[in-house]
Amino acid sequence: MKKRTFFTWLFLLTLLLTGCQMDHTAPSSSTDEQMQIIDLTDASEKGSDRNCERNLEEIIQKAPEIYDVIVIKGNEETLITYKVKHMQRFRMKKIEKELKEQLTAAFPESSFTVSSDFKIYLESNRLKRKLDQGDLSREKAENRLKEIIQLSKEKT
Amino acid sequence: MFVAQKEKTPEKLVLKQLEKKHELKRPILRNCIVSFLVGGTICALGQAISFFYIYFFDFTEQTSGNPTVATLIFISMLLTGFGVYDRIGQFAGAGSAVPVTGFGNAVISAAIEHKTEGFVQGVGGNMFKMAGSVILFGVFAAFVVAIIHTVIGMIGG
Repeated sequence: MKKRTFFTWLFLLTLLLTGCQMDHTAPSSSTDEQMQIIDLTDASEKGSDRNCERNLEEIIQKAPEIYDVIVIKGNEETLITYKVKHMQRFRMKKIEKELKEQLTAAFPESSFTVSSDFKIYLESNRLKRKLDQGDLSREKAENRLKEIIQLSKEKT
Repeated sequence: MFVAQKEKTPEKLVLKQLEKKHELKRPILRNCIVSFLVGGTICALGQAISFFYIYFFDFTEQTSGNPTVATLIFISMLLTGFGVYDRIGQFAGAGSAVPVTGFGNAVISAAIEHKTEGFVQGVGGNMFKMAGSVILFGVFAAFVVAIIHTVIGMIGG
């Protein structure tokens, strides 16, 4: 009976410890590979501003704590949503503040909403998928973007 | 005289030895591990509920906390009513009492216990006899923290 209890505990402990183990074999994803930019501005219909996008990419790449970045450029506001590396989640607010400051300094004429909230990331991803599949018109996408930005500002 | 009073009589010593021999050892390590695992499972369930609200409704990470807590309390209240949570509590100890589900259990178990004393005097009067102190000190602690936060914010921290 004692032996059985011992092995049960050993099994549970092993399960616990292996569950906490990090997967070191997974390839590290660079921000460059994971960044997706969606341009909903009227100017983008005439031809997107590559220089502006490159600047944006450079600023975001300077933050090694974030990955899976989605940038949605609207006519009035630009939404930037991302995931934060697990151990850096304690610094989430600081990362958000720093990124917003850098972006505002680089593009003083634009307005930015920066969010690491999973819901905002999820909705941005859904919006991107719908746009890729052609299920959403540019106008509706712009309205949806406004809704997502509004959602990111909700506190309660 | 004083020292003599503190000295144990031979009978007392024998009794103490007997007590030591028959006393059941508290399985502290086992209790800790079980509490950790059950408490962790409840928290994992809470995380799953939180993701459910984020995924299917318009709740963000920040706003999903309220419905998640309400759901967990509701589930624990139902389980207490069915007599399941008591068994979980006996097995897990603090693991089931410390998470917010313990709050629901405290409310409903007190209501069930005093049901025979009447609806108003019994259920109404005793329902929050345990949970009431949790609410009181919770609100008071939140008030104090809010004041500290406001003062630090005003100073410019």
